[in-house]
Amino acid sequence: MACISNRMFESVASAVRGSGVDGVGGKLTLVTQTSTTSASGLIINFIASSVTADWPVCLLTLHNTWGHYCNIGNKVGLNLRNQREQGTVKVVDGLQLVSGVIDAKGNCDDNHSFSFICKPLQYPLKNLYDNLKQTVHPWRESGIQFQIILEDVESLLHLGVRRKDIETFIHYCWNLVGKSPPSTVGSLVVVATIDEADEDANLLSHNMTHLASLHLSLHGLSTGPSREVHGLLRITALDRNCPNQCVPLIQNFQYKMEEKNMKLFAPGTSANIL
Amino acid sequence: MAKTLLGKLFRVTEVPTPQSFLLTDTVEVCGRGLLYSLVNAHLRLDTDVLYLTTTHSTQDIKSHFMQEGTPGKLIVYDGSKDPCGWDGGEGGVLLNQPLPEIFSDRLTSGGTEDKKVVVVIDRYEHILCSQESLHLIRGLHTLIAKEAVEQVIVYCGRDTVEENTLTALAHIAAVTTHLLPSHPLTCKVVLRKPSGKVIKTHEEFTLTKELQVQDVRPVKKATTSLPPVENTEADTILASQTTFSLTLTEDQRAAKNKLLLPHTRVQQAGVGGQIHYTPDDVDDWDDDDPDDDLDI
Repeated sequence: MACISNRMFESVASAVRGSGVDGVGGKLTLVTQTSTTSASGLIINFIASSVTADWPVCLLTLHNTWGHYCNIGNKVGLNLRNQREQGTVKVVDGLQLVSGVIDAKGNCDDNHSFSFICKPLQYPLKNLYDNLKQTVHPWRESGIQFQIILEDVESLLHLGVRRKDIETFIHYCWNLVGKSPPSTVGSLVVVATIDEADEDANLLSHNMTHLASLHLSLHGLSTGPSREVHGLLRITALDRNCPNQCVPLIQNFQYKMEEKNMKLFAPGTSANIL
Repeated sequence: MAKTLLGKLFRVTEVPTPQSFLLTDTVEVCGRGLLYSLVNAHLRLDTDVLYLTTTHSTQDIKSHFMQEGTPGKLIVYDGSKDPCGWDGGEGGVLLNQPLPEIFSDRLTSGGTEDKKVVVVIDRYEHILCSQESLHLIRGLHTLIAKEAVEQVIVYCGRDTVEENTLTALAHIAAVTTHLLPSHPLTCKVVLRKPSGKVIKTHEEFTLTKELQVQDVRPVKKATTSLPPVENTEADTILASQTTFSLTLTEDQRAAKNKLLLPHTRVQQAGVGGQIHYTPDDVDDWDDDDPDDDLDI
């Protein structure tokens, strides 16, 4: 986990600790969801745990609005608007930026983060990267640990960006947190939605999985959601610093989202069975 | 001395040394350890290695090789720092240039000091982000054909490149090694000899902490028939939602296969199909033609 603290869902933090791999020190953590599950709760907890550990967070939203995360934050007792005012949480609001480009009706600035929507560019996501780089620049300069969260990166595919360009963008974002010691200054969390029917989205998520030390994968139940079980959480951990470890450690759980907690239990041991 | 194909390839004792080596893995199994093992073997044999990295930094890569004090030199080309020049292109290798140009400082005439080198591409799919597949394959061809190059090792994921790219890579590779997610680890190897002979093997092995490939032996028939990954995942998910077993153990499967059903016994006895009917005392025999109403 990018940063494990008491603000994290305790059950998830404990499961991650059990895998023996953490997400700190420039590591990449991948969180995947499906059409029937949502990783919003986990994203909020990444933010909460970072903020508690005095790690500032930079969040790039591409699918949900900033207000969506503020509402979830309020439920778990985290006032994200306050954190943003204090500068602990910085937000690059993708949806708002896209809306700005569309409103400009083709007259957008060349350096705009989403100017690729108006005109073809060799590297469509370079401007967005520059924006993120500028956002985290003060933290990098002062050498403090921070976290970058990229939400729903496959949304960029729907804006016409090629998979290869998204992979390059993520690669550069990973460089921002200093993926190799001694230059490590943070950690990167990438959130993606799995869609088996979309070949590009699949290749993208596979590519990210090859790079990630931790992969938290949320799946719905094949029989549909039930009152006591909301889905399956699979934690895949592979220590990329130990090349002799070829096969990742995989833990499977069933989960139930509660008001302020994510309850994990071994498959087949939910309350409606026991 | 290694007698198995995998042992020969990873100890670099196969003669002649295959000019191109494709190593692939998937998200379920990581082949980096095998790659380092092969590079270490070359370094131990006093062969210089030109290593193009696209994910790990130079320090990271060197930390896995430098401790052994090997006679061969490791020269790292860092394509992870700034692959497209977004940060000014200082201090790193740009991945949008043709492959032979990346190594041009060592592979131009007189640059290799009459010593052959091994070129490592770690990982192929990341270079694909910066240039077209056709250009990359062409660059790879040029590299393999260079006299100064003893072997080109390409490392990539089978599930991260498009099928036609993987086919093209497998087509030009003298050795194709697909690492499979199994216990113990297994590899499917295809070796194309210069004579035209093709050797296909499926071998299991263990990778030590020192990244040595050991205990190589051919995979027994029983363990080769691994179920497809998708089925395994579906079974796992399904099994986790039920309180009873949906699968069979090996013993149960063997017992099930041995079970002979009654009709099979009769068929095997060669008696043929016969119907025996013993009329009842009170059977109501009808003398009328049963098909009378059909007007045949």
